[in-house]
Amino acid sequence: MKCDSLVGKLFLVADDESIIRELLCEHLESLGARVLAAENGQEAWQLLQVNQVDFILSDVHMPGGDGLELLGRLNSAGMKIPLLFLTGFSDFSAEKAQAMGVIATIAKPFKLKDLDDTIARAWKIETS
Amino acid sequence: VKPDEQFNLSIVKAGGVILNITSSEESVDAEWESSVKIPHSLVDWRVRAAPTPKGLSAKHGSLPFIVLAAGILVASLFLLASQLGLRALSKSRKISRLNERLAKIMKLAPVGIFQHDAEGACVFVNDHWCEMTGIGQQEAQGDGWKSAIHPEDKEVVVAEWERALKEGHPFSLLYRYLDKQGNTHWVKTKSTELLDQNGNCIGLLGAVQDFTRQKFAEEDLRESRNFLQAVLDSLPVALFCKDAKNDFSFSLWNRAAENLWGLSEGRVIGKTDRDFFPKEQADFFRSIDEKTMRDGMIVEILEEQVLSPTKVPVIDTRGEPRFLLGISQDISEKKEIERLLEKQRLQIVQAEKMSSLGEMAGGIAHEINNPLATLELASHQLVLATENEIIDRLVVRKNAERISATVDRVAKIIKGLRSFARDGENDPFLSASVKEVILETLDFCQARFGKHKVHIRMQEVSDNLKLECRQTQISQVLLNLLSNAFDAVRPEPDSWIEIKAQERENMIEIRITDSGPGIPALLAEEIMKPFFTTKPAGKGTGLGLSISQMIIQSHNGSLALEMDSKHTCFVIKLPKFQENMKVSA
Repeated sequence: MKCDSLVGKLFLVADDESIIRELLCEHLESLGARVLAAENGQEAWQLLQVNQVDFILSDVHMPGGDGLELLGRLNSAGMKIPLLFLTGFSDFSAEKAQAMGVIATIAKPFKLKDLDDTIARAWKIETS
Repeated sequence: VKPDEQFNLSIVKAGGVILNITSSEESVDAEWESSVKIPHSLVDWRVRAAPTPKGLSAKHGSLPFIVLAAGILVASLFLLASQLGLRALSKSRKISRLNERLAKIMKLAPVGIFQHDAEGACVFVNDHWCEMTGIGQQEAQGDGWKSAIHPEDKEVVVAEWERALKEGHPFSLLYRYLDKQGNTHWVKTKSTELLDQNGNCIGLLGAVQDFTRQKFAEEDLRESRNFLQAVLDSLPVALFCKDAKNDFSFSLWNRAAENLWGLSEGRVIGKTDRDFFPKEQADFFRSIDEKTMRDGMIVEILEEQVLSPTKVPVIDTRGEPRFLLGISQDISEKKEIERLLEKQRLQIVQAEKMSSLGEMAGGIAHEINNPLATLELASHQLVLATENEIIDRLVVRKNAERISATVDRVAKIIKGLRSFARDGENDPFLSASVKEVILETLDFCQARFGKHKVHIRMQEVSDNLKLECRQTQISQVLLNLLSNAFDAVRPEPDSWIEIKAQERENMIEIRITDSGPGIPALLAEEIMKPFFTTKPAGKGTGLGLSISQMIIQSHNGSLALEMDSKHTCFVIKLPKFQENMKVSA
């Protein structure tokens, strides 16, 4: 993955678990991206109102507005921002999310390489 | 009356004829009646004499003659009395007393008595015979008596009767009467000839004894013995009897006893314990037997043995303890079944727990997958840190701490899972923080509940609230109630589950309320029963609540549905301290 491709891009990370949120931010920052962090879907939505976000990484289940809700809002508002789900629930059915237009769903735990590759692939699709 | 003249003499006491002497073999057709007071008699006798001249057939026709004869008779009697003197009078008084007694015997005798004339015609039957057969005195006369004989026996009896009469030997036969009510009477009849002075047969006198009871008594006895034996032999318990008046020798030994001890009835009856046991043991049994006879029922509790003998003294007809009845049961099978049932029960409890664990699997996966993601990210940060020329100690430290905290978190989950999954039934009662028990239980289900947007509200619980319990079990109960609540409210929007714990009257009260509308009163009792479930097939075991209740009861507490609540509310009440139980500090 070319780190350059993320340089200057604005990411939004939404996860209710602070350590994961922090680590994801740190990781994306290490790749040169700028990152916004939100604890839940509601907070993420508010950030989206005032920021030109290029890419969203979101947990699915979060108290106070979950990932699917966020995706629904984006669709309703006609905002075409690539969104990638990260979920710890092994029994999460990705079909609904895919139907709603999610880029991909990555199950936790994941290898960082897989995450990076998925982001890169998504990016490529979005920019091509 | 001249000696060769036929006459009939009756002596009458107030109430009836007690003596009837007829000088001829023929009966009297009509009577001459008169009476006289006998001067030397101690009682008030009336004498009635009735000569029987042949051809006198109508009473009315003889009346003038009777009146005429009365005076003559009075005179004759006085003459007779003075001529024969007191000797004759005393003799006739002896005869009359004898006859009086005979008449009484005839009346009172519990046997039927009959008299037949030489031709075989019945001339007399007593009251008892009439009672037995239902045939009246008059009806029995002549051949009338034959109608009393059972139709099946009639031919034989009549033939035998005629033979006895002809050959002049006594009649003796066992046969049946059939009375008018249709009842069969077995009778034993014996008769003997009546002879005149010259040894000629003038009739037969016989007695009929009702033999029905004797006839059937033996049969009944045998039958009831057989019946009792069959009952005793089909009992699944071993029964034996020892005769206390006969050295406690065995007098009864039923089939179950044969099977249980492998000794046949024939080998045991009449023997004593000494024939089967060493002296010391036999003496010990004897002491118990004697104590039983003295004190009443004894139940021997012999833990190591599979038998549970009960010994009871049996009272004889004189009200004295005579027999020792022993009741033993082969309880090895029962114990085995109990053991299997207990094993099954434990398996069911465990299965229920596993089932709830299965339901929680998604939540548990989440609890572990998230930390694993953390570890991956943090380790990558460490790798990145080493790639720089100057290692940022802060970054390293921060990520190391993250890893450590995450390890702790996973370890805690594993520990909780393990303690939940294990069987806590034999755990000691330990003092635990109520808050901690609740929080640890919530750890299992919070993620799952959150995923389905069921909000959990936990009221603040004091850290000081302590409870002596088997934590694993209480946790299982809480989890069960929470899961039930979750399943009930999950389909509804804005659903919630509330947990409240407080101390009340020295008891710990934990209330779990959900946003559901409550459970109909009709089902309130049902829900606590095993295998009752409202969940779709394959979803619930129907055992959760019954097991929960069992656990709470084993803690001397109670689990109940609160009836007057707007929402569904289960209340657990537990004593703070477990009395009389081993509590480890």
